[in-house]
Parts: sequence; C-alpha cells; structure tokens
Amino acid sequence: MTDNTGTTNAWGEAWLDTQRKYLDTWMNLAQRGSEALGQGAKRDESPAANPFAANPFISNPFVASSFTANSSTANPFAANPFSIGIDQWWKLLAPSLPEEGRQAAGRLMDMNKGYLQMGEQAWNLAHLMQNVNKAGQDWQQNLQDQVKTWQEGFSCQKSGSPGWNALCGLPLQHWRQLFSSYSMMPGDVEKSLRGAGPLGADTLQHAVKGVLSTPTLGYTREMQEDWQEWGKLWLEHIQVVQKYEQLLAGVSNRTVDLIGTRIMNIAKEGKSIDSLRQTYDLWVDCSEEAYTELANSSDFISTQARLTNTLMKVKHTEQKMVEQLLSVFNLPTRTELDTAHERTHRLRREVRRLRHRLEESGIEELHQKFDQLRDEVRAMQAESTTRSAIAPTQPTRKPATTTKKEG
Amino acid sequence: MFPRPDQILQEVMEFNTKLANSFSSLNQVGNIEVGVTPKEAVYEEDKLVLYRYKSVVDKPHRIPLLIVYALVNRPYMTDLQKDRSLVKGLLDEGIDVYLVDWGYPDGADRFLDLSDYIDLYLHHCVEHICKAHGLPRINLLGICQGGTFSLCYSALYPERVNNLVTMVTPVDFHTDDNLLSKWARQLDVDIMVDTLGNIPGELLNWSFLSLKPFQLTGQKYLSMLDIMDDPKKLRNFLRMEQWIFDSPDQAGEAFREFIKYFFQQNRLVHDTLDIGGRPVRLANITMPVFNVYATQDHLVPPAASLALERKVGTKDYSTFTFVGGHIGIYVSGRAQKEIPPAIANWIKARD
Repeated sequence: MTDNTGTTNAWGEAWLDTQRKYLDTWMNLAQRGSEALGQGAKRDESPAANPFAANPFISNPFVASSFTANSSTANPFAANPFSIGIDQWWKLLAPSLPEEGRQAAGRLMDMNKGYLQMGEQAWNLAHLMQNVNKAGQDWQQNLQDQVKTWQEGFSCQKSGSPGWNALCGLPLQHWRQLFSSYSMMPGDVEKSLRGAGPLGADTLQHAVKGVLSTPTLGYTREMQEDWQEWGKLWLEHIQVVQKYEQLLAGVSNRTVDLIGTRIMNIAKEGKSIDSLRQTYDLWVDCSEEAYTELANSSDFISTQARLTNTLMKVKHTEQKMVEQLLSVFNLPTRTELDTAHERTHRLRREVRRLRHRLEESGIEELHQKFDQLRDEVRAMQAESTTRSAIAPTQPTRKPATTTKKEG
Repeated sequence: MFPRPDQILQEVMEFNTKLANSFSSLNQVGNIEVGVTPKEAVYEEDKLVLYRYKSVVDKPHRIPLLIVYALVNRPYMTDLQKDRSLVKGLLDEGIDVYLVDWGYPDGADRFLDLSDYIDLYLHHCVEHICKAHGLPRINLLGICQGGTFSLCYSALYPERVNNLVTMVTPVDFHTDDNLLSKWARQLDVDIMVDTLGNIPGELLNWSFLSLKPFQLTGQKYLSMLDIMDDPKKLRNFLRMEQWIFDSPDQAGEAFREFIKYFFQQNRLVHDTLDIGGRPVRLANITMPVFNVYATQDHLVPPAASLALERKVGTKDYSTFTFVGGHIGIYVSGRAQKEIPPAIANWIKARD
C-alpha cells in the first residue's frame, strides 16, 4: 500500500490555508465596511449593527431571520471558527447594505457557508480520486471503494455544521422558522428535548407526558387543564417534527447513494466532473431526485400534513388561553372581532343581494320610467303655462250666428 | 475525471473573492421597480383595483381583454419590467388591456369567500368594462388560480365572456404528477382557517419552495453570484426575488373553499362545484377557449391544465404549448416572443 501521509498532510495544510485566506478576505472587507460606516455612511445604532451588543436573534436563533437561523449563533459550539468569523462580519456589514439588496445578500451568505463545506467534501473526494488515478488496471473497483469511503464520511447528520445544514436541512429549517412565527414556543426547544433523558431519546417526553396527565385540582383547575391540553398538543407536534426530520435524513442518505452511482456512471462514460461547482450541481440534482421520491410517498405526505395540522392545534389552544386572559382584563378578543367582521360581511352581502334582486325585478327600471314620465308631464305643464302667458289677450268673440229665415 | 484538490481550493478562493466583491454591487443596486407599463385605475371596490393600461396603438382592438391573476401572488408578474411584460406584449399587438389587482387582504377580509371574488368583484369589473365600452361581453385572460376563477366566471356568466384564454390554469387537481395537490389533500384546512383567520402568504411560500427546496432555496443563490457583476441582470434577479416573496395573505374563507373544493374534492371536473349557491359547470363554457400551458410546470402540471378540453362545452377549443416552466412563461425571453402574439392572433381571429 502506498504511503500517502506526506501528501495528505500537504493537502490538509493547503485546505486550512485556503480557509484562513477565506476568512481573511471577509475580515478585510469587514474592515473596509467598518471604515465606510465611520466615514459617512449613516451609522446604524440598532443592536443588530453591533455584533457584540444584545441581539434578540442571538438569544432566540430560530426567530425571525433566515440569515441568523443558519448562523453559528444557533449552535456556536458546533460551528467552525471560520463560520463564526464570517457571521460576525455579516452582522457588521448587513446594516450598511440597502434594503433592496440585504435580503438577497443574507441568503447568499447562508449558501456561502454551505458552499465552503461542500468544498471540503469535494476536496475529500478529490483527494481519494488521486489514489484512483494511481491505481492502474482495477480502477473501477478502486473508484467504487473510494466513493464508498467518501460516502461513509459524508452525512448531513454527522457534520453538524450550520453551514452544511444550510444545504442539507432546507425544508426542515424553513419549517422551524415558520413554527417560531406561529407559536409561543421557539423552535429550538424541540431540539433541546431530543435525547435528553438517560433512558433513551423519548425519556423526557414520557416524563412530560406523565406530568401533563396529572389530575388537576382547586380553584384554577380549568386553567391547569388548558395548560395540560396545550402541552400534550405541543408534544404531539414535536413528535411529528422529529418524524419529519427522520424522513428528511433519508433524503441525505439517498442523495449520497445517488451521487456515488452518478460518479461511477460518469467515469464509465469517460466523462469528467471538472469543477467544484459541477460537484455542487450534481449534489443538487441528486438531492432533488431523492427528495422528490420521498415527497411523493404516502408516509411523507401524511407527515407533512400532520406537521401543519398539529401546529395549528397548538396555536388554536394558545389562542383560547390568550383570549381567556384578555377577558380577565376586559379586553376585546379575536373571536369577538371575528364575530363583528362576520356580521358586517353578512350585512354587506345581504345589501348586495337585495340590490341585485331589485335590479332583476325591474323596479329600478320602473322607477326610471316613472321619473321620466313625471319629467315629461312637468315639462308639458310648464310649456302649457308658458304658452298661456305669452299668448295676447283677445276679445271674446261670439260665434257667428246665422239666422235662417224660414220662408 | 474529478478536479484535483488544488483546483478545488483555487475555485473556493475564487468563489470567495467574487462573493466578497459582489457586495459592492448589492450596495449600489438602488430601488427595484416593478409594474412599469403606464396604467390608470378605473374602478375600485374594497381593496380591489381595476387598471386599464395605456394603449400604444391609435386604434386598439374593439373588444378589451381583462387579465385575471391569482390571489397567491401579485399581478405585476404580468408586467415585471419593460422587456419582460406580457401586458406590454399584448398592448404592442393592439389589444386593449385591463388587469384586476385583488390587493392585500387584512383581518377585516377574512370572511371573503369564492362567491365574493367571482360573483361580486370579478363580475363588477366585467360589468364596468362592458358599460365603459358599450359592449355586452369582453375577452378574459385567466392566469394560474386566476384562470380557475375565470373558468368559474365563464361558466356562471357565459353571456359576459366573448373569448376565454386560460394560462397555466389548474382544472383537474388530482392528476398523478400534482405534488402540491397531494400535499394539500390531507391538510385540515378548517383548523388552519379557524386558527389563523387569513392564511399568511409566507406559509404558502413555504409550500411552493418545498416542492424543489434545494434548487429554489439554495442553488438559485449560488447562480446569483454569476450575475453579480452585471447590474442589469442583478436587478432582474432581485426584481424576480421581490415578486416571489411578495405574497399576500389569503382571505380565510376563500382559502378554505379553494383548498376543499378544488385541491381536496376536485369539484370542478366532477361537476359538483357550487359558488354562491349556483352550480358551476364547465359544459356551460360555450365561447371559444384558448388554453396556454407550460411543459415543465411543477406547480400546474400540463395534465392538470389539459383536462379542460374534455369538460368544456365549446367546439372552438385550442391549446398553446410553451416549452418552459410556470415562471418562465411570463418572464423568459422566448415567452415574450411567443405568448403575446399567440394570444392576440387567436383573439383577433375570433372577434
């Protein structure tokens, strides 16, 4: 077996050097951005402009922003220092960008980190491919072995990197953002529950369920029941989220299989993958293929629907509880507002319906005809009066009489 | 067969440099304008606005065309920018163009249902145009969900529609390749509407993006980097981006009915749809119909549109096939050349 240790070390150092340069580029830009801010650009005094100030997104990483949701702040200990550096840079630069470009830039930043991770994976594969090139006759078997080695090291779940998850965990990540928008409970609470108990992944959930089933007592019994109901629904939703995540993890695994197969086919056809970008595009194609297979399956369809349905149940119960609280303070509730809106809407509809009936019955036309006739009569009366006034007064003449004498 | 490790490192560095430099482009991008063709508001009701576009020919076609867009996105997609505008293309062909803008529903609109949209809003727009032009009927162009609305309207008020054009319009919601419909069938839409009232646009966006998540939320932004140094292309990209995420909330009751009647029960093709207490039967559509569909449409698969042929009552039915996707049919360069002339010529041949 060839000893590649020296070469591996050299490549490893090159890779680290690239990452260092990568970070340096961003830090230089950050410095320039900082200077620009100081020299005339309007300084943003909001907390978000200062990465070291209190940032509400950092305290709840799944709330509000897709940019920070992926960032290393979501799990700073899982991130590599390069990602953290880039995140800090982004927080500094973002406020200075115009609104039109800021969102797009943020999405670009999300993908940037993932792309860097992709580079690492591609680099690993490229390194393995160097061995294949040296192999000679039995290259196909050797290629298969190297691809397999790479596949074993390639797992979205294992990587744990926010950047890499930006590529792999897209559907779930978007759901978590939505979840946070529609629930009192931030999305990361679900993650903290997972595997927390000493007796297996569901220990804590079982314990919580037990508490939620305790009989309620006393003056606040109904309120306790509401909270218990809400807790049960929330747990149900969390279980569905976990099922959804498991299904999506299958996409990652299937993607890796498909990439391996595609690489083998490309090699057999004598074609080649010439760039990192082509590798990325291959990964996207394979991911979409794997995802489409899953998305059409009855298990996924049912889980996806339950994801929304269970969340809505949680939210519905939350609303009930909030309304009870509002009633205590004698404040109007959403239900009361809905009732008012619905009544107004029915009333408007009824008015429109009656107007339509009127139009159809021809009463409007009759009214118009009546008005027209009335106007005509008035006009005639006026004309007659005018004529009378204008005509000269003449002596009344007696009608001529003829006397006929009788002979 | 695979790039060397040093090539990959080089590419990562180049990518990084390009990305860092690109932020100055984003910084200078300025305002993104949409809906560029001159127009005038001619009728308003609640949040609805009916626009008439300024004609570019001395004597436009005698019978005007009303464009009915979907509720789920903003109608300026039909007039995104000067060189990507279905509206402008139709005006250039001499068509007198009107457009319905449904507006952004808020909490007070949550009880608007399909009857309100079709029997009231849409009908009032048509009546207004008929009256303004002294015509008994006009031409309709329905797009996507707006196409489904136009079908319902034409079935309910056939005496008001001279010619009907449908574009990427779902008719049969239960075709095998309709992933969105498969997902919607098990949704408990009652609890959704009862809980949320109006359905947030971002929830719908999540569904649309989840159809192709890796392309639509990932790959697309890497491709953006390739056009960063071209201000025009960058602005085009950002304009499209603005449209995609400009998703109005959906009036709760209309959403409930649309999901139930169309996605879940497929009533339009089963002849079981009632709107405002009146049956909607596609067989009542006896005016000429021109059905435009896109071959690679992942939101409205071709089969979902083509089902129209076997249901409508007209003998004058024809189709136009656009090779492309649901978005490309509005904004691609080829669409600008193909779609407006095809629609205009078809209309002119029948008026």
